[in-house]
Amino acid sequence: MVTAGTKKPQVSVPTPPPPPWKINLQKYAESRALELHSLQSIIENRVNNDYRSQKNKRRRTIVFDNQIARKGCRRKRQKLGIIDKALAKSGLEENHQKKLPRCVHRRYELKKNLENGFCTSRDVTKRLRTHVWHAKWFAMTKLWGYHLPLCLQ
Amino acid sequence: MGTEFETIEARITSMLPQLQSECGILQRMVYKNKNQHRRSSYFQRLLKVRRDLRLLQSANMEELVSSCLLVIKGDRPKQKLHLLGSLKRRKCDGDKHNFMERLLGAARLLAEMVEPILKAASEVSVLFAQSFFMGFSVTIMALLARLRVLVQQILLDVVSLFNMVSSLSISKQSIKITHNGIEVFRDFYPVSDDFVTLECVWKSDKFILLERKHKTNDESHVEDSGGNVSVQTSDVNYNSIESFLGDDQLFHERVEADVVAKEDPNHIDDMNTDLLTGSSQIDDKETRYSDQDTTKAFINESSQEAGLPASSRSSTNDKLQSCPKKVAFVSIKNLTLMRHKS
Repeated sequence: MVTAGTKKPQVSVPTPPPPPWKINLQKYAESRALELHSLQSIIENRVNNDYRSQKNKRRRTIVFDNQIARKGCRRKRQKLGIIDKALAKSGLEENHQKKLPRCVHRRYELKKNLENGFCTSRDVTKRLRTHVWHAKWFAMTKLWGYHLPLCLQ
Repeated sequence: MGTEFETIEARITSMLPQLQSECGILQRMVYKNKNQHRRSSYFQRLLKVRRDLRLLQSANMEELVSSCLLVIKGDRPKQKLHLLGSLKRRKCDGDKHNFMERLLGAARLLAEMVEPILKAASEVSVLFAQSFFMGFSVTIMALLARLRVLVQQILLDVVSLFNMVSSLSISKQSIKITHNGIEVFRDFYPVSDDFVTLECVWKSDKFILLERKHKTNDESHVEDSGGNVSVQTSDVNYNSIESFLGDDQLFHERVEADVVAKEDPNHIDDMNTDLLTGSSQIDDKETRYSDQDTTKAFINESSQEAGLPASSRSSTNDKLQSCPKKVAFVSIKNLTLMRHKS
């Protein structure tokens, strides 16, 4: 008698070894030097030797705040006066929209990060992008048409 | 062909553990640095690379590659038959996909993994340019460089394995199974369906996967050449082939004659009855094989009565295809007789 075929042995997948606790950075990079060189040449072709970070991505990681851009944050958008599509569809007219007081509105305007880099205050003095930060730590003065911090060396 | 798949086997079995270890290091790096970097764009790219690697791990590449190598090598004939038989299942049947479809899915995933790796590397190179987080960026660049090379090489090997297995599954072949000293020849006939071949084309900085569908030859031509090929491929020489190729009427007449002749206890009559019981077993196996589609092969001596009506039901086409199967099972009977005598 020829019996039925034997059962297929269950192949147990061996668990991979845990990743190393410490990596010697120099050895790790040097052992992959060839791959790194080829990858670097590909990236050079892609980026066209332009390694500058994009302007809209220049933020420190912790203080990055995209509340204005997020559509879920409705309260802040209403505060800023940005007309949402949902609000427009609901039939609210511009007259009914809540207007901000000038001090709040002006503060948000001066906080903006414009492309040319400067905001103009009431007496036609230009503010730096970092004006708010510098105003907390330095004495500010108006020189040559700019609002500049006074630094002692 | 032989040496080619051996190099592919050696290469891919050495690369898959490397890929696993690199994946482990990447997950560890992501885990450690998630709090500090999580909002930045380069870290979002890294998370996409990690997602693709997890998908690839869930595809279970080691099992797929070992299945392909079993089909190509043929050193375990039962499993080879099982795997080739599973290819005949259609995609509509049940939830499970056969291993070729899973391998095709894995190849598609490998082809799409290269682009997120390159984007993540270009974002991390901006960190390099600013010399921010140098330890982190050096490690990630080295990791991505190795991952890119591994992924593309595995893709090439998977594509060539896929093409080998698909060409094997199209052609007709006979497989020899040895179990406890008894040899059985099983013949594999392909289904006349469309089959897919894969091709990789290098475009500027990565490989792109192309899928081509082909159609098999005409069915009549396949059936005509099937009988000849199957007879030629089996190397065993059989003595009494012509006695089984007769018509149904002759078969019934022989049965009646032998029933009458059973009363005389002669040696020649014993041989005739043994041959007839062997033929009835053959008919029984045909019906069971067509019903169950299993690779099991066993002998039932008590199925003489059930075999006779089955032979009348079978059509001429089935007879043409099943001729070598009949011949193959007679040899088992002879071998068992030899064992009983010795």
